[in-house]
Amino acid sequence: METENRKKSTKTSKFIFVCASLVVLTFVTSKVWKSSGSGEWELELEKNGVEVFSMKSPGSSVKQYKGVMQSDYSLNHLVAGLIENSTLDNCKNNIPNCVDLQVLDEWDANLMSDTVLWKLELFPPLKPREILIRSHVNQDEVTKVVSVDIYGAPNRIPRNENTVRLSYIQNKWVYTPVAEGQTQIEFYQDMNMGGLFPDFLLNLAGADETYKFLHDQLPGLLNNDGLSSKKYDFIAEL
Amino acid sequence: MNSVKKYGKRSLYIFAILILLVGSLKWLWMMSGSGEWVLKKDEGGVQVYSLKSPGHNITQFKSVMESDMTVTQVAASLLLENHSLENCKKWIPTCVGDVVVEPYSENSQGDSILWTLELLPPVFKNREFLIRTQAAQDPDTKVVSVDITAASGKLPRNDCCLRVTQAHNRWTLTPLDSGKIRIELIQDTSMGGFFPDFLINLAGADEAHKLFKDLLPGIIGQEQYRTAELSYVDE
Repeated sequence: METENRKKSTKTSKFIFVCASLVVLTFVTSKVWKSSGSGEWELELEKNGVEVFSMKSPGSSVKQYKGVMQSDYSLNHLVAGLIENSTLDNCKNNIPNCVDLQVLDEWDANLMSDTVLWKLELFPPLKPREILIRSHVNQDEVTKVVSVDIYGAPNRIPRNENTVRLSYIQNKWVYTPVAEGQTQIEFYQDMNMGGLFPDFLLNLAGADETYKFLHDQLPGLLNNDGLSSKKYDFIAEL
Repeated sequence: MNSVKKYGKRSLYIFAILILLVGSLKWLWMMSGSGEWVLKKDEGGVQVYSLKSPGHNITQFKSVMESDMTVTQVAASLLLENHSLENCKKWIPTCVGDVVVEPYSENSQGDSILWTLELLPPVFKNREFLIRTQAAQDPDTKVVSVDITAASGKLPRNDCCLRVTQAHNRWTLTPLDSGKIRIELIQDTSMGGFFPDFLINLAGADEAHKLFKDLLPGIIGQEQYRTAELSYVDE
C-alpha cells in the first residue's frame, strides 16, 4: 500500500515538473521568437509564376508576406479592381468568410482614397472580425509605378458589439508597368487578426494563403465585367 | 547536489506559476471592457473619457472641449506645418526627426509624414510614426474630421527604429449653435515591440487632459493658424 502511494506521488511530481517545464519553455520560446528575425525578405514559395517572400522583424510577433507575379493587366485595370470591387457580392464570392461589406467613404479622386468596412466570420469561439480600411492610391509621375496603401482606420465609426475590429493592418499593392498592358504585381501583407487569434497560425499558413490569394482569388476579382475597359484621369499608363 | 536540484525545481515552479498568473491576468484584461465611453476626468473645461473594448489590449481615450476658435484654425494646426521638426517637437517634445513622405496639398487634403520619437533609450528603440493625415468635411453637418493613421508601409523600415503599425487618432471638429466649436480627439495608439501597453492605459487619461488643457491652446492660437484658409472647409 505504502509502495503504491509512493509510486503515485512520484508520478504526480513528474507530471507537475513536466507541465511547469512546458509553461516556462513556451514562454521563453515566444519571447525569443518575438525578438528574432533578420528584417530581410526571404523566398518561401515559388510556384506557377508566383513568388512569396516572408520577413520576420525583431519586435514583431507576426511575419510580413510579399507576393510577386507578372500579369497581363494594365494599371487602370488593376486600380479598377480595387476601386470598383467594394461590393457585398464581390466580398462574399471572392473573399473567404466574408459576410458583410459597407462603403463608408466612396472613392474620391481628389483624396485618392476610399474607406470600406469588411466583416469576416471566424471559427468559434473567435468573434467575427471587422476590417475597417482606408485605401490610398499614389502614382509616381516619373516611373508610373502605382502604389496602393491599405491601412487600418478602426475609429472611423464606433465599434460594433460582439466583433473585434482590427487595429493592425498595413497592406500594400505595388503595380510596376513593365510594357504596355503588362504589369508586375506586388502584394505586401502586414497584419494580425487581433483579439485571441493565435499569431502562429498566420505565421504557419501565411505563405500559402498569399499564394492562393494572388494565384486563385485575384483573377476572379479582376475578371469582372467592365473592369478591363476602365480608364482613370489620375492613372497614366506607360 | 540534492539541494541544488531542489532549489532549481522550486525556482522552476515559482517561475511557471508567475507566468500562468501574469498570462491569466493579461487574458482577463484582454477580454474585459464595456465597449462604452466612461468619464475619467472633468477639469478646467476639458472632459476625458476612456473606452476598453473586449478583444483589445489598448484603452482608447477621448478628450472633449468647447472652444471659441474656428474649425479652420484647428484643422490648419493639424495640417499646415507637419513638414517642420520644430512643429513636431511642439506637439511631442521627444520628437527627433521629421521627414516629408507625401507633401501636403489642398487637393489631397492631407499629407504623409515620418516622425521619429525618442522612447526611453537604451531600454526601448526609438519609434517611427509614418502617418497619413487626412481631413474631410461632411457637406451637410459641416463637421470636419481629421484622421491621423499609421501608414507604416509607405517606406521601407529603418534599422534604427521600430515602426509603429497601430495608430488611429481622430479629431472631430463640430460647429455648435452657440458659435463655438466642440473639439474631440480619440487617441488609439500602441507603441509596439516590448513597450508595455499598461503604461499607456495607466497614464493615458492624464496625458490626454494635459494635451487639451495645456498644449493645444498655445499651438492653435498661433498667428498662422488664426488667419489660415482651407479651400475644402466651409465655415
